[in-house]
Amino acid sequence: MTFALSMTTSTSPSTIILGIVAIYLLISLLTGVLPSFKTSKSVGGFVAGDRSMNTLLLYFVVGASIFSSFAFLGGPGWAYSRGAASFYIIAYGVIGIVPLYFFGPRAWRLGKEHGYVTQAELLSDRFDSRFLSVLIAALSVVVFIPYLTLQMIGAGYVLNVISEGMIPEWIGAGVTYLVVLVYVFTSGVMGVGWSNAFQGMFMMIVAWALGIYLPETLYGGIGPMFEAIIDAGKEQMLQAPGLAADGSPWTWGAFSSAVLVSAVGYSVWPHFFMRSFAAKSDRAMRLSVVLYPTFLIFLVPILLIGFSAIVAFPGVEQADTILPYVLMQLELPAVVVGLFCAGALAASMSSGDAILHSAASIAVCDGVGKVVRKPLDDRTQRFLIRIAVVLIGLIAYLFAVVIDVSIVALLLGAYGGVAQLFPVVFAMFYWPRANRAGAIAALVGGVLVNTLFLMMPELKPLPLHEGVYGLMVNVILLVGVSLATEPPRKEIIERFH
Amino acid sequence: MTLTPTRKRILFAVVLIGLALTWPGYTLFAGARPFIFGFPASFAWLIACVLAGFAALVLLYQHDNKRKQAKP
Repeated sequence: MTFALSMTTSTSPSTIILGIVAIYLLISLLTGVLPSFKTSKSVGGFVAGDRSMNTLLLYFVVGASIFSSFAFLGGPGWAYSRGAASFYIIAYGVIGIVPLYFFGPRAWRLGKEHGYVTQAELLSDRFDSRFLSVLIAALSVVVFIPYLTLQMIGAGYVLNVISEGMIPEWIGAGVTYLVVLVYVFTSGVMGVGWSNAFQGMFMMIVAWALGIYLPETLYGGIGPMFEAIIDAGKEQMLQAPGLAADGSPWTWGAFSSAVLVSAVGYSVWPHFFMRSFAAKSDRAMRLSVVLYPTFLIFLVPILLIGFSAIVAFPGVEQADTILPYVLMQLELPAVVVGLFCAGALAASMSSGDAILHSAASIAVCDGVGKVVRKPLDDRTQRFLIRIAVVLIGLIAYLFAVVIDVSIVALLLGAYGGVAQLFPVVFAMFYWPRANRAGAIAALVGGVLVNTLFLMMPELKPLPLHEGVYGLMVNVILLVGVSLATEPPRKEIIERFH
Repeated sequence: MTLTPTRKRILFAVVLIGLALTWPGYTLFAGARPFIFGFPASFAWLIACVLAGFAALVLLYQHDNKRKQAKP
């Protein structure tokens, strides 16, 4: 701290903050690029890390890739503007991770036996359909792009607010994601793994430090902070299910359905699910899932950050920027602000890299690879995945610099689409009678209904998350169409059940 | 892996945790008061459910490992 203060006398705080951010980015780059020397130069090496990830790496990949800008900026933003509504972010994680405990080892075993490296490869073999593979590839890329965009917006926000507007959002997002692009391009999933281990540890420390420090400094502790919120006449913010976006009380239906859809979609996010193929053993996979709630607890201080600003800093319009805003108001030493800023970037990058890597892998392995007549050789496939990394990164970046919507709202929309994969994944492992026609009908029907209600919420019969309606149609079609058509071939059932 | 009675019990506990975090279970602990360790009741309940979920997963993992070791 003394060092920080002495530095501020000779160097401007902005320079120190940006210097720390630059050092952080450099370490991320190195931890991301170095694994490229150890991984094989094959598609299996790039996409599944030669199936060599141990529990520690998997723990950080699984944990850090889901905790993102959405958690670090959207979480405090929701706690600040909508109070207890933000609890849904923690609530769905607790139940959403459990299916992966069962899916993961099965996917790992099948991947090891038959060489699968993506979720769609598994599904398209089980349901004997190339079309299904292309469909899942398209769905994955369509939901991944807004998700990646969201991470970029987060990085842009942080650098813009911290630099007091000196760094425009497009430059902040651009520089940060150039680093991500380089290490994903060179190292594939092992680059994602090692950089996530560094970023995960870093942001956990930052989140706990800040979540305890802010209530203590502003109110004298966590209890007094919540008392102050009640004294300010905002008790409703502390009552579940909190407030809706317009400030009116949120309904239990909306809260519960958001938890349900997010929990259902959680374990089948393709970038999350495909880490099963990177695991060293089924035990490593299961243990990383078991330890996951310890990562979830780290969201508690994240929400405390948002709650701490309700009384102390009222009236901030853009709730998603509340964390960097508070940091700038507190006159903290520049070194401390720089570390927090780097923590927020770590949250953005640790999800962004996983999404970018998965989107490119899926687009090529499950999309392009299934459309072309001649099977792609390993070298061509790896080359195309790298091209896709650059292209998808650029598309998401273009969206990031032109759109203006809430970070969490974007993610909620994406979750509804991804959740439609759950019934098909579940049936793949546990319902031998499910067949190609049923799976395709379920996925198409579910996604269409989800998209319809997302675009036209006024048509919803009840104010529930659109994903719930999609899932209802999805399950009915999966069961109905499967039973009405021929069962799958015997050898397929034997392989999967 | 088959559904043993222990696995069933643990999965049932996970379902209960899910119900405790949505309507109608959560309505029982939805208020701001009482404060528990400085947290409003609604927040403390959420944290307790995360810890319960963690415990359930640990038990499941231990149970599965024992079964795997018992297999010849």
